[in-house]
Amino acid sequence: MKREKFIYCLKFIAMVIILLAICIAMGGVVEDKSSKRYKGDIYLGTNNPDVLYLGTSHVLYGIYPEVIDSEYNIESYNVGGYAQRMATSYWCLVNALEKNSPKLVVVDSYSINDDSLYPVDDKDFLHFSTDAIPLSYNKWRMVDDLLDDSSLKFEFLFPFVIYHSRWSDINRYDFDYYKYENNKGAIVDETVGEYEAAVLPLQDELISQESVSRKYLQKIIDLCEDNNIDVLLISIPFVASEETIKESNSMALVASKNNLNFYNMFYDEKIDLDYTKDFTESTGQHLNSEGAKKISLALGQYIVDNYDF
Amino acid sequence: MIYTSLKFLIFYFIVVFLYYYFIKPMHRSYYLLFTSSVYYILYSSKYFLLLLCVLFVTFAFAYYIDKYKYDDHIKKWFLCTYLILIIFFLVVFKYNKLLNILFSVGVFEEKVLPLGISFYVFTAISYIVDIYSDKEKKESNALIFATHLMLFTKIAAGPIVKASDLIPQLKEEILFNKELFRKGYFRVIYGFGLKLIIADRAAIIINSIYDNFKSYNGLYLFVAACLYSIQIYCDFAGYSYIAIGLSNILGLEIKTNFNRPYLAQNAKDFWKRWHISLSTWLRDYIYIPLGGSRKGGARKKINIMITMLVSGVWHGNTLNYIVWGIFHGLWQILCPVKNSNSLIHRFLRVATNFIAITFGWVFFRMVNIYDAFYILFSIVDIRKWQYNIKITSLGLDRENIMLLICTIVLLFVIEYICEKKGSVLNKVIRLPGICRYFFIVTLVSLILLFGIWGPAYDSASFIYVDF
Repeated sequence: MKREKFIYCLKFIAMVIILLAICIAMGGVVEDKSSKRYKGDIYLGTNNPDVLYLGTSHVLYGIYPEVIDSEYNIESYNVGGYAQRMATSYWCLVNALEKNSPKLVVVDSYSINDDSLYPVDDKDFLHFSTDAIPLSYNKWRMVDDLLDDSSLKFEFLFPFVIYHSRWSDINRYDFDYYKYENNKGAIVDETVGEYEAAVLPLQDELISQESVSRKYLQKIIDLCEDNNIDVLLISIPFVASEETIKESNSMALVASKNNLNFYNMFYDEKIDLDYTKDFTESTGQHLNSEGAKKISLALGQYIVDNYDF
Repeated sequence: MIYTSLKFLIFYFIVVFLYYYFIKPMHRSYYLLFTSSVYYILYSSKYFLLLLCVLFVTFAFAYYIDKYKYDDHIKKWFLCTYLILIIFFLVVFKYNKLLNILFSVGVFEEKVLPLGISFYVFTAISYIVDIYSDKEKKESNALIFATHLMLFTKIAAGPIVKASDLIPQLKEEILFNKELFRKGYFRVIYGFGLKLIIADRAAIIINSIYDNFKSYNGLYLFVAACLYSIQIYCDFAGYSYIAIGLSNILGLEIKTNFNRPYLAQNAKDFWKRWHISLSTWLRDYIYIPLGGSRKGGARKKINIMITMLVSGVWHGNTLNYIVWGIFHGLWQILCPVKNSNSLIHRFLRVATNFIAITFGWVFFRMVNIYDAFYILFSIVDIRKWQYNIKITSLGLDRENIMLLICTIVLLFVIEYICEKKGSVLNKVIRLPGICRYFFIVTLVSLILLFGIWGPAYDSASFIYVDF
């Protein structure tokens, strides 16, 4: 009788394992491939780049690793994401460091005074940033830290929960997404919008306040220090109010406290950004391909001038 | 904790694991009482004391009715007192809206319905009446009786199980029964399939149309009405299969609650197949005590109308349910009973029957009676139908609609095979081990892939839990 019970138990466990394996396999097919396409390489350790770029969509649209790679011979990867808060960036870095050993991490200043851990109103953005991360202890830690709701945690650990309904949308792209250009994590937008240039306050005018984002920025810096990785803080220009630029300027305090470089591109006239041509049509928050090339070249030059590669 | 939630599944797995691995067979009934109490408290802690009150009162009255079984006068007094108390209790909680209207606003506060109230009250009534009529022996073990009334696998929305069906099983040692166990998990899987693949998918189209029904012509409304017939069947039958399956896994046999109702050829046949536990209860405790068919044709018709009216009122406290009950009463009285052997005639009878039931369900779905009539008149006025139907504008894409159609067809094919050749389940459970496991894994995978579940959807409760 005991032996029979034991066999039943084993059969049940075996079936659960088989079902989980099938769900993971089905999940791999029905999952939205955006994250895997643009961020998959970094979490699989395909490239092991020397430089990683972290930040919001300002980074996602504004830094082209391929331009920096070809011009300055620096292997790099864009780990930016839509509305990607500093907390999410921190955890993306933790997971990226499992398979990569960069020499430099570049962190953009946008939303430095923000208190949210992720874009609460649009979970899809968080999916874009994190779906490509394979299931692991660090992914579990990330989900546990960022999300309170247990059903949300489940969704992010097992994307099949949310993507199973995509079965009716599956097309060829779901099977050969990896063949498509991923621009080393960057999004290329060639549209053009016309905007007015940002009114720049004085560079030492800054707005600094305690925030969750600052806390996680410090965690990024500490993590890099523990792993002998340099950190470069930057501010990518965008159509901004004076107040927002002052917030970005406050990165100087973080840089000073941690003995880091801060490259505030708002004030670098050599970049020669044209606000009537270098931003996307939909929003002045994102650089288009022309603007991103200028920023990337400037950033690459800064890295070469200040770091040993 | 609805049965389709992950929390319930985890709860249930823990219960079953402990049940078979740590609890001795002779103690399993008491363990079920404990787990049923835990379940009820987790789901509806506020009304657990009420359930205990019903339990205590029913047990006490059963004792006295049995004690005075040779004294008709006292026995009847106890029965009447009990019925008044228990029906008053049900009315206060279930019909508070109506009472507010009849007895002035604010006297009876609007309340959320206690979980399973309609079902456990009817279970209790059947127990007391059966003891009174000497059809049932009083159960002296209060804990066994409590397990029968509160069993968590059926308390939410039935089936309404007679004491004579369940209590003997609870009094004996509950041993592991391989065949019953297999039937159990296949029933659970089948129930999940009906609910998550068909019912909840159909609900998307139905809600799109009915939420804005005045914007749609008769053809759309007819499609929605037919789909609602499918939805309510798959939802409720799905629940019943799950409830019965969960009980089977625990080693308990519970009678089937649905027997392919849409293959019925007439009204009487339909009510022998639909929500069998309720229709049996209505027959045994309303229709037959009123005289049934024993007091002439006219009286029989009156008895049918009263019975169906009670059925309508049982479902809800708004006028539409009463109209639904009256509709079914009239339909039973007017509908010819003869079945047909000719395939075409049988098909036509089944189709006509389905249309009639569908019309009745419109009253069930639409709380406002005028809306229901509007929909029915729109359906019947075929001249105003417009045939350029854009079904993909109703919330489902083409692939999902194809899946819905295919699964509905498959459902009817399975039911037709069962009708002609006997239960498919008995054949499935006898498949060789490896085939059986492959079948289970395939079915569960398909339900996970095609089912309507997850954060993208509003977690749809079962329709009958609201009763």
